[in-house]
Amino acid sequence: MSLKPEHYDNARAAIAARGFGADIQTRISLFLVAAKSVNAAMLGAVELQPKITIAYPSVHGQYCREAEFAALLARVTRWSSNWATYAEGARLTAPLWTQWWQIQWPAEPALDPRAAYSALALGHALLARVRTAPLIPERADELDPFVAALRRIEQESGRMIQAQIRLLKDGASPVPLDERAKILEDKQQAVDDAFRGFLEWLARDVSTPRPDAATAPR
Amino acid sequence: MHFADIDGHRIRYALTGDRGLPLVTFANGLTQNADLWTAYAAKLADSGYRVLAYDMLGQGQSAKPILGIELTDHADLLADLLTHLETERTHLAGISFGGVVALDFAIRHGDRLAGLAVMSSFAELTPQLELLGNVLYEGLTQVGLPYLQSMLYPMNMSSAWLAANRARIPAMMRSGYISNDLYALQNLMESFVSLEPLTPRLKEIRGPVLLMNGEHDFFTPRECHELLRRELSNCRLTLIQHAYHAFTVELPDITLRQLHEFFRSVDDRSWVGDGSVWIAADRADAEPHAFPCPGDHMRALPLRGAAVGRRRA
Repeated sequence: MSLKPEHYDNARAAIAARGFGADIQTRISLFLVAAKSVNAAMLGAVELQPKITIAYPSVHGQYCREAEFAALLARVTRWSSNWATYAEGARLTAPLWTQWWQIQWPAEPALDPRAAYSALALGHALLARVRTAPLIPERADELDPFVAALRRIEQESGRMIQAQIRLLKDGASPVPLDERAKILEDKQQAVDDAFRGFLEWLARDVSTPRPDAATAPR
Repeated sequence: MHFADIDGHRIRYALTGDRGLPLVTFANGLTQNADLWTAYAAKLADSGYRVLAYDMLGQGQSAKPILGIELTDHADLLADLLTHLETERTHLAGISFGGVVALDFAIRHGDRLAGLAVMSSFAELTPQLELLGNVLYEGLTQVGLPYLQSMLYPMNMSSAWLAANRARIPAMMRSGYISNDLYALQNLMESFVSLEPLTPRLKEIRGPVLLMNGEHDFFTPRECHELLRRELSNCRLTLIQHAYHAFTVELPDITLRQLHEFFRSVDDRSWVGDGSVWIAADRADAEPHAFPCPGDHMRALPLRGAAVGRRRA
């Protein structure tokens, strides 16, 4: 099943009804931090690549940015004390990590063109498809640190993805075109599937609303 | 909405109206999708037409190839979609980006075309259009998709429309943001890099063509449509009063009336493609639906008599 506008709409309606409470913030941050961490892990794997190429400044810059955003979310999030939220978050984000682990076998990106192309494809899918700005209710406080962080991360993702776009479209690769297209399609589908599960999770009731989670959108 | 596999791509489309009726196909603008034409389709279906609206490659819920697509892929894909739907011929109406696709379709698949309506569009990148395109591209890639959307609303719509719809704009922008992907829009814009001007081949379009241009469209201004009018052998140019670039959204009833009259005249063979310039009535139910342009359609200033000929030495 593909990602549909209703998935965003249902999640946004749930957030609008309950506000950006600790549980909602935690759910969003768990997924976003995972997406940023997976991409940073991939970029980190080529930080010590044997040959410095013209792509290095973009790759290195993006690695730092992704690490920075994961840290930013850690700071601005009002973390839930509900252990079940973390358990579910780990379950929903595990497929993202699995994608990266699979790419490293049998050879890591710095040594294998297919793995390198797969890592770029997964990075592209993470930056292109994990979009949380449409989840922000219209009456949310845009000056709230968590909301501001979501906006900032989204905008920067649009800029950072230019590195993947140029390398995927114009970079030389010994991988045949049909195979490249299949890799891109598979990575996008994998991220879409995980993100859809995340949106459905957001749309579900917060089972144990807490008094400290009652900040309604202004 | 239905999905079809066309040339290995998943394409989302909607058919409204009964099989066997004359088909009208709509080609979307850059950031649009098939849903834009829902109201048009309902009204045209009531008037005896079958309507095909679809998300073009890179749009809405159709496939969005990451490795990019050629501009010519769109017309070829439409031809194959029509074949998939077991349809030989269609009227085709395209706006802006979709207008370019429609012209390309008319040049290379003209035998499948009944009437062609080209709205707010162009056959080649004029210097102004090329530079504007560069700015939009830079905005998309350096700032982001919301920035592009924010630019397009005031560029394409009138102040009156913006004032009346201000409260709805955030939701409309969000909907557009969800259904579009930055990289897919970027691919569509980058496909213009390989655009060979269609102008030299416009003479190959023999069928009826209605050109429509908003009175105040400064994105694809009069010169773009005048070039088309001069080169097309069987056309008319209709100017839409008070309209900007996206008059299909802002003035749907007036647009629909002009399209309907055009398709009807093609079907009953009363169409006259004499290159004349017309002005659409500013009410959808007015009779007649358009009247001949009395002045110099290339000028924006309402000059009269001797003043028209005066120029600074």
